[in-house]
Amino acid sequence: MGNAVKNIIILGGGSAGWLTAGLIASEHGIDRARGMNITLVESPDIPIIGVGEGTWPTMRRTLKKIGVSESDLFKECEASFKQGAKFEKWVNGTADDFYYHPLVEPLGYSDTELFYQWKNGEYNTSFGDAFCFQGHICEHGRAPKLITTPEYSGIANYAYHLNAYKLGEFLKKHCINKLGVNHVIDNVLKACSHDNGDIAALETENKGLLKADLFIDCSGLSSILLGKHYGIPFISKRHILFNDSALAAQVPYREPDDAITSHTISTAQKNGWIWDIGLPSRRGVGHTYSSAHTSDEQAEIELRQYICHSLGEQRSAELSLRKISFEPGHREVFWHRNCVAVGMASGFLEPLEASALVLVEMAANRISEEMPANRTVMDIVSKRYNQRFLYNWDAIVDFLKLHYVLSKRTDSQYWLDNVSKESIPERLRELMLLWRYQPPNRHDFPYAEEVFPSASWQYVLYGMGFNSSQRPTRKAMNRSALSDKYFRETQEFAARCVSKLPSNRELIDKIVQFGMQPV
Amino acid sequence: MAKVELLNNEKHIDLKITPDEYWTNFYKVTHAMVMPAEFMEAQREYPIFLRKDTNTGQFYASVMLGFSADKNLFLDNGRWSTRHVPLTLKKGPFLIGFQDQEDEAGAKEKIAHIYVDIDDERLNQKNGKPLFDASGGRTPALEEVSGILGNIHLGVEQTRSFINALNKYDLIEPFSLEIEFASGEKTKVTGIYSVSEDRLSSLSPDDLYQLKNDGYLKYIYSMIFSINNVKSLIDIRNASSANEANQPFD
Repeated sequence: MGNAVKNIIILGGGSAGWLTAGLIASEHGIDRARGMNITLVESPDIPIIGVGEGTWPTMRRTLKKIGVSESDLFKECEASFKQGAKFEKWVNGTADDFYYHPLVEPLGYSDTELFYQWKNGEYNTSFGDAFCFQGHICEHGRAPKLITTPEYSGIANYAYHLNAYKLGEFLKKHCINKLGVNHVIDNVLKACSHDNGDIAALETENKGLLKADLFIDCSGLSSILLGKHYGIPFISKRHILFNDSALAAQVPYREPDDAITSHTISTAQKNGWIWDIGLPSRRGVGHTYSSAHTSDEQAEIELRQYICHSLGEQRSAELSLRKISFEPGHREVFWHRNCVAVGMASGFLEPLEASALVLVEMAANRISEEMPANRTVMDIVSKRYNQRFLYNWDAIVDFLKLHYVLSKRTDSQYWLDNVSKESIPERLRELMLLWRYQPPNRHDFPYAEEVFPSASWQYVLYGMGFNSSQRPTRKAMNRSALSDKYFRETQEFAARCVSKLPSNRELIDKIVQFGMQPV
Repeated sequence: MAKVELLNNEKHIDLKITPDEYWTNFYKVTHAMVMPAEFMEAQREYPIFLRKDTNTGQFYASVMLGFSADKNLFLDNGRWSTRHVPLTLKKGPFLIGFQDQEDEAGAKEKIAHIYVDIDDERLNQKNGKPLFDASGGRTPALEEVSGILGNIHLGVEQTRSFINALNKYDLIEPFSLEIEFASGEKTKVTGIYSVSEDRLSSLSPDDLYQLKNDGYLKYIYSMIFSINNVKSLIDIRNASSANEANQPFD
């Protein structure tokens, strides 16, 4: 057909742009005769926002597919291992108020209803720690693998903490040198349209018109094509997720060999929460909060108090902070005509549960896998794409909101407002009503590729003290022998891991020094 | 604990190295590192696999000498039943080390030196071959040690390039070895890797030519052929346990 999709332009050179370029180029090849022609255009003037220093485990598959070495990722992107998140002070704010959302499914999760067994059993530990070894190794600061474990494989499932700006640079090099992506550095002045409303080309300052069949908007919050050119409305989620501001700091370690925490620490505050992400060279610490509930000054005081614990009063007071403002929400559609937005150009939510980069991966993978053969079928693909990504955004909004809804904190209007009925999406209200009588299961999350599987919901629900009662009519499920076995195996495996696995820093140092083997 | 010192013809003038028959305890191992230059000889007698250094995660080549803890099946009454003994076992208590040395122009250069673990029981001042003659010159025994250390040093570098080439063509694969002995006893050898014949045979002529040109193809075939020696290891093991069973009252 004459209207085959062969030329792709990606606008924007942040981590979203290069991840998208890498995934499409590695799948469709760059070859003038048969493959696709991919061009990434970025402005020399617009700075890259290094948002999203936490990833999901999906990033391992993504990077492997793009074809970069995991050892190089550690050498070039200040990467560290992330094994989930530890939530502190989210339930009632006391010192012993914490739970883990690990990346490993509970042992025996599909065999028996572990929650009932845990509730009725005498395991004297949290739901997560009873059936998942990962929280134990996080508490001991262990890495998820050994130096002899091959690249991209783990003993425990893992993701990364990394310098997102450096990730973009790292992928850029690979995309240009190995995957044949064209790189244009120029300012885009405007989009030129075909008669039917499709984008025909981008007009640049110095390089003239850049024509393509499909335009991928990775221009960040400015959403140049989808937002500005097409005027696709933005759907705010501020009435559900109140946080719209953040203060971010780069916190040095006291000593160069201080332990690197192998999970994200998320500590609830009076009007938001503080993230704490350990990279090998520094920590990324920031406070995200609701500007409707508190002031920047108050948020800064709380952030400096938090940093003060590890860095001391004086050095904490001297740290420079960066203010970020954002509107939580997403565009009404993500793929319009021959333009699809990926990353912040499509929407942005607070960094709780690190959903930014995983959404980029999901979007880029989907675009690559369903790359429309021609303009005629593009509308079919884009329709399905929009339906699915609306679902994904809603699922993330629901999951993030869950962390707030389950809180019993009453120490500020922020926490009180967070449990008000009108702030809770209808689907989440329904699910939570249902879960009072049955734990989350696969019927709640029917897709093969859910952003958060049912086990994640269970970790948060039961980590925060939610109770699901057992229906008396249900066939007696006295499987305590089975859950005892899973409990024992989990504790034994956790102890073995704690004694055998190196510390996070020890392993990262070795990877930087020696590298990991591909097999 | 090892006490490693730089070998010195004044301090160590009286040091002697014991003959091979005193080394038996050091030969009781189930595998030993080998260098690519040894592959041709090693593959006639031992299975050669790749293993990973537990400290660095890096691959090295290794010959398999036995199955169960510290039982070297190629030792017969303390003597090697094979013609080739791996250099890393022959080197004894000696090590190679490097020191910065400035030449006349002031440029730094790494100079190789021989180090020795003077607490090692293979050394003493009475029995064995001296390392230095009366005037402090190197004896043939020390020259032999020096040659072995030099070859090991070279071999470590060659191993690195060889492994890089194998990785470049994606040729390394985990090797699964599960054995049932004649006695019915079962064992599983883990942590060993070999070259994938499938992937080797699917390489393009250009890639194969490159491997041949770099001298790696003969190493690759040595490794592949050497796997047949697992059978000899099993035979020796079966025969030795049969002997043990025949002499229950010894």
